[in-house]
Amino acid sequence: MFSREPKLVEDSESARPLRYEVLAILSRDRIALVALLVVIAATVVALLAPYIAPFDPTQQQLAGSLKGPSSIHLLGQDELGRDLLSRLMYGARVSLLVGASVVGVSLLIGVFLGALAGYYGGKVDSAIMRIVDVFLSFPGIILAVGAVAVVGPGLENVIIALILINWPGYTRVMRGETLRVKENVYVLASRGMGASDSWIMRKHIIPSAISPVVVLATIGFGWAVLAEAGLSFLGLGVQPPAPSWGGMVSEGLEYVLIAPLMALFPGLTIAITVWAFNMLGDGLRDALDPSLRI
Amino acid sequence: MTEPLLEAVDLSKIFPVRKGLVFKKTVAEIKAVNHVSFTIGRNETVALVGESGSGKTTIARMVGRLLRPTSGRVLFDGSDAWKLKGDELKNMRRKIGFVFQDPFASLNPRMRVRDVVSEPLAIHHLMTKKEREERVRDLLVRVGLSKDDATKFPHQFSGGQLQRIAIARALALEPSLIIADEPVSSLDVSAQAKIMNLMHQIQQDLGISYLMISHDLGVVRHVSHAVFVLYLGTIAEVAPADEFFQRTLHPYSKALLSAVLVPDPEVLQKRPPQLLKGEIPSPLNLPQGCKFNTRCPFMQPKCKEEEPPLAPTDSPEHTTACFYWEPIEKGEIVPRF
Amino acid sequence: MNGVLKVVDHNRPGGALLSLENLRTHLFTSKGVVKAVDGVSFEIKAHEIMGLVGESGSGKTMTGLSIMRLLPSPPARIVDGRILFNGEDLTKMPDDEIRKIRGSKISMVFQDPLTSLNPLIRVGKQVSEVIQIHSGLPSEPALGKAIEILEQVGIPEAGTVASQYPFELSGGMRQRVMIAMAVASRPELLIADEPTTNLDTTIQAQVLSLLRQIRDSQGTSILLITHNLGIVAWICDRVAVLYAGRLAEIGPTNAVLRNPSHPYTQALLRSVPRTDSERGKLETIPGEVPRLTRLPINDCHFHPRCPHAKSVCQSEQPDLIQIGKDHFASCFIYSKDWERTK
Repeated sequence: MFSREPKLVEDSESARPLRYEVLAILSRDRIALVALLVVIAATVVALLAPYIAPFDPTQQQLAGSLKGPSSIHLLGQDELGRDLLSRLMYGARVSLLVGASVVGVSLLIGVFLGALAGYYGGKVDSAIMRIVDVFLSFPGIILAVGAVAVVGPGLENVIIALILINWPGYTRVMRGETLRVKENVYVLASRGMGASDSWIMRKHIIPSAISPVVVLATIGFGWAVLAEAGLSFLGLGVQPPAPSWGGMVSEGLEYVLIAPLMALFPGLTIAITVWAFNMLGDGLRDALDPSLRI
Repeated sequence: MTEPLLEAVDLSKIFPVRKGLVFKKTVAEIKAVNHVSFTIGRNETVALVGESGSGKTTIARMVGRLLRPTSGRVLFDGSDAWKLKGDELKNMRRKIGFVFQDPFASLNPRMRVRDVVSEPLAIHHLMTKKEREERVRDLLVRVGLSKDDATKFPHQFSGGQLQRIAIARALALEPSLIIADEPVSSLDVSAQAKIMNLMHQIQQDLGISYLMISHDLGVVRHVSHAVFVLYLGTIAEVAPADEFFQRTLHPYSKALLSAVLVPDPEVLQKRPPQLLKGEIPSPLNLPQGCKFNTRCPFMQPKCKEEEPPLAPTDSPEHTTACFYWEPIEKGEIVPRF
Repeated sequence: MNGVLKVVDHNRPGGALLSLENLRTHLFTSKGVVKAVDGVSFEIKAHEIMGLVGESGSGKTMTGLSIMRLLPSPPARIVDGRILFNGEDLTKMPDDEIRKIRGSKISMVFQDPLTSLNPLIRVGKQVSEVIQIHSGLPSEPALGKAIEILEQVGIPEAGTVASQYPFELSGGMRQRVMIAMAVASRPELLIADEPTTNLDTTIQAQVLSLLRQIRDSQGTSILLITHNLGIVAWICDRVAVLYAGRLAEIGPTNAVLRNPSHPYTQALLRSVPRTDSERGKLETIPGEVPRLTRLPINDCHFHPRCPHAKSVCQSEQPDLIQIGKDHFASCFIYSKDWERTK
């Protein structure tokens, strides 16, 4: 008696893939949007520094030593008369390079080891997590200072040291997420179809478990920028005359009573950048949370 | 008689309960399934019926080679499923499809329908990308969806539609057996009926067999050819479906059937549900003798001492594990509720 | 004719324990307004078990939460209508007054008893706390009272169970504990939202019979929200069938289930798999439950799936029409000029 064919209900609103929805939610979060713009701006400046910086960051003009902002030197000059704006722009390259490589490599290690530990459990899990515990039992920044002090200062060493203290955190989060995701029935369903472990990891576990790790990574990015600044401030990072934000704060502090802006500008830059990454992380966490997607 | 498609022989599963942080000691055992045997014929639907803790899901997983039995064998097409390796194992995997209870959970929410349905094909490296897309479209149409649904994501569908997608995925490798664990129990009434009809239609068109796990005897009535009633990991009664719904012999089957609420006040008035006393005992501490004796309204002294074997009755293919099915049926033992 | 309430004759304000008058509860989401409850009227009499039946998206749970004023807000809000409880309008009541009614005069039992109980507190303590809140008894006698109530809801060895944690109990026992907490204050109305959905069949029968026993012994009225027509058939005196936020049919259980009058009720009943029928195909309702954000205002929401639909069903909203004693259905078939309608 029911002759008419069922029609599927169309809903164009929800007919969009996940990543667009994440973007849509992110775009409604004003703070995250501002943070995203700051991050994009910093990246563009870092990439284009050689083209847009008004001066060579190492070019000394002793006549302009410690001069405040002017129409030629927008943020003023340091003790050797170098252009502060140009140094900040070039310093962005160091900061973002450190951030990207520390986060990128830690993320790779963390996702891989965390997924292995969580998926296989048992001895694999115990072995990986004991190593993680050893690393986590040292206070992070002291471990980094110690490591750099042993192998000597320099950009590469800073990066390696920061990776050493960063990867265990990612591993731990990834393991926890993997434990949760692997209980999903769709993982069981995939096994029932004859899927191999590597298939299940690639197609189901990692894509589903990775979002909190990615959120952690954005916050970790800000942390890495700050840590590099700290190490450079202590003279363990990039060596002069190459500019880095932390190094600039350190140099500026010597003249803080005569030219306070010299320390303030790089300090502010660090603060804003780190804030932006943290806010982006928060926004991303909200956007990736399926329960907030109505 | 032709060889059955699947034969479960004396299957048992014991889960150890472990305690301790470093040196895990086995402190107890949960006997989830005890010596269960059954066969599934070709083009036949066998229903495993029981409440939580009856072991029905554990059995389905052992049969589907997702969980290793503690003892017993699973013969699929004549060969021992748990001894197969390499290509033979892969072949067997292709012959068994799964449909799970909650389609919201059994489909990866991050994958498009196209990738969900073609996942088994991709796992087994079958067909080119183009052929797979073609196959996905055919399968979607077969389960009553539109081929345009291939590019959508699971959250755009209702529960009933998602279960259709899950069925399409199970059919992708042209299986001869589909193991369906409560395939309609999480769905709305109107969606339930449609999924049951779809499964029925698929069986008629493709000649596949179902192992159907369900606690809903109404659902079982409509789809199954044979019914196996489980209680605490043991078979209580086995009967052809038509006979089972005419004549149940085991007191537990009777109670289960009586607890089904038919949506008709007059029928319920005439035949109100008998209330069983108490709850299912803990599988950690199984009752001595007949496992049902703690709740059975017909319980006799012998039931506490000896476990009744699954024994033939006066009707062919109808077996039951009750010492007293005959006097109960004749009304010689009075129930105490 | 914007779906305005037609006061039907069984719906006398003041005569019933609870009466809903043209209740509208809408959800304001980013994807539009979901009219979860869209003009629902019915009443619950004293000493009565009323069934509220519908599939997912029918608005049955939102109706229950509206009465308790426990709506998730945002996005949900009661936008129109009255909920009269003993003659007082619950929708207008200040928060502190509704809190006094909640748990004492109106209680609620939810589907999942594990998440509704605090996992860290012993069962007896949880029940006795409820007693203390409503009776002011000191903790010692309250615990004694709690054990007494646990016994009354059929928990064996209630004294032992009282000292256990929720996770140590089976699903059926937990639901009994929830019911004990809900009836501890002897409420006038108990709202039970799918109270047996997660329970085994034999346990479901036990819990339902407990609900009926509570009604018989305490005179509590019960609003039983369910999707299961068998449950309705067994313990409900009257039943209201919801479809897409509106009332499709309402009446005494016997009348509605044996003489279903709305095409939706008819189709729903036919699609229930029954043990007293044959193997084979079931009848089904074509199509899917509509998305509530996309519904037209002036139509019968069921018309795209209805075998009898005429053009009037697409352009007007049907009123409740009397079919028999206390039995109403909102379908144009029962209007006088249906035969002449296009």
